[in-house]
Amino acid sequence: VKRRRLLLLALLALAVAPTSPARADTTPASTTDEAWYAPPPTCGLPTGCGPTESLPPISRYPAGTLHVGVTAGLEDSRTYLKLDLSGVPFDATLTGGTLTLPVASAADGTSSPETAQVAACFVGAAFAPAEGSVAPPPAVDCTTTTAATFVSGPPAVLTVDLSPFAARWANGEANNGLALLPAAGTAPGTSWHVAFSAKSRAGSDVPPARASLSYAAVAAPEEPTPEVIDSSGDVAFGPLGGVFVGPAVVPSPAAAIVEQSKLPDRVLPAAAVSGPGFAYPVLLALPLLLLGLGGYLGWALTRPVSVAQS
Amino acid sequence: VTRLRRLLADPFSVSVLVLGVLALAGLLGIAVGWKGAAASLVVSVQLPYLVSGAIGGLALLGFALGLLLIQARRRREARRRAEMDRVVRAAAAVLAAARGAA
Repeated sequence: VKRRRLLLLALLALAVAPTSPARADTTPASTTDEAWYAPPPTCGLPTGCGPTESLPPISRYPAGTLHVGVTAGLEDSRTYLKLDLSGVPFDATLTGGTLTLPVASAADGTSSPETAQVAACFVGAAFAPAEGSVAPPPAVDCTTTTAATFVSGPPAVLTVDLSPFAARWANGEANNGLALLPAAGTAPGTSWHVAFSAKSRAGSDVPPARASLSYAAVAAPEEPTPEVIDSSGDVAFGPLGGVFVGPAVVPSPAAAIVEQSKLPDRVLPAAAVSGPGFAYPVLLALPLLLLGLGGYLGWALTRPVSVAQS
Repeated sequence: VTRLRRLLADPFSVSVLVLGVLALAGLLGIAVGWKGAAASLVVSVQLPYLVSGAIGGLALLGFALGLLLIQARRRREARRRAEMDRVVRAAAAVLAAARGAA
């Protein structure tokens, strides 16, 4: 009878004892790198951007601001942010988060922020901090994208749900940052502009972008009851008939480090070098056509003009 | 058909036709440049339309109209020469007739 009672107690202890439950938590995150680009509107033409290396950065906005905007249906600026994910414990799994972008005032360039259609996309390559750079910005990967939501203030903010991106980061994808750019399908003729404060901005009431990251941490298991005291007050052996049941095996931190050090499945090149190509190959024949036309006109203009004799 | 064939065999007629087409292309370039520039408020977008469309169209139009003017002058000179020849031939005929009568 005593052994049966001990067995029952042991089974009860096993049922009650949690086995490494996942504990949800959040951590604040700031940006480590920020850049905004003002690609020349010629990038929207079929001929491409053209040479931009010699162009100086456009900075018609106050220093320390970031911008996303559309002018007459054409993108005029976009912002890249890299979040600091180091606040997430190494053995935790990133599950989601929210990026909050307080919208700056009209003096900083904001106009019609309530009509803004901003989308967040993955950045394909590392980027350097820049303000109003006219250089072609790093490519973006919009297979995973989230639309920013405008919340009127004061202070007005744009919020971005980071859950889709967190899933990819949790799968080991490199954190090259997020791009905030006008959403695809912007109607022609629309114009809006939203400005944000960069983290380096001083003397402004508008705070910089901040994020809250959610993660699921593997909690340390509770210590199981090492001893069972029966009703008679005697100290008995541990459950399972005298076999000591130790704590659940805590995953080794090394496993997470090894997982993080693995190369991603898809390695994106840092930069791609390619020529502009011929957008319209038929234009190759245009010089020949002009040459033939010039030759014919030269011949025709030196022929004697015949006049009908009456 | 014969008249059209004769017309196309004449370098003057064909050159006038080609220059007319070039002038029309110049007008079309100006129209496209104006339409593209008017569609945007951004100066850097308007600039390519102005340079390639408007200025290019104006250049093509000027080129075509200039050559058409040259051709028209050549035609007028040819007609004047032909009339002068006719006058000379008539005078020669009158002179020959006067000699025969004498």
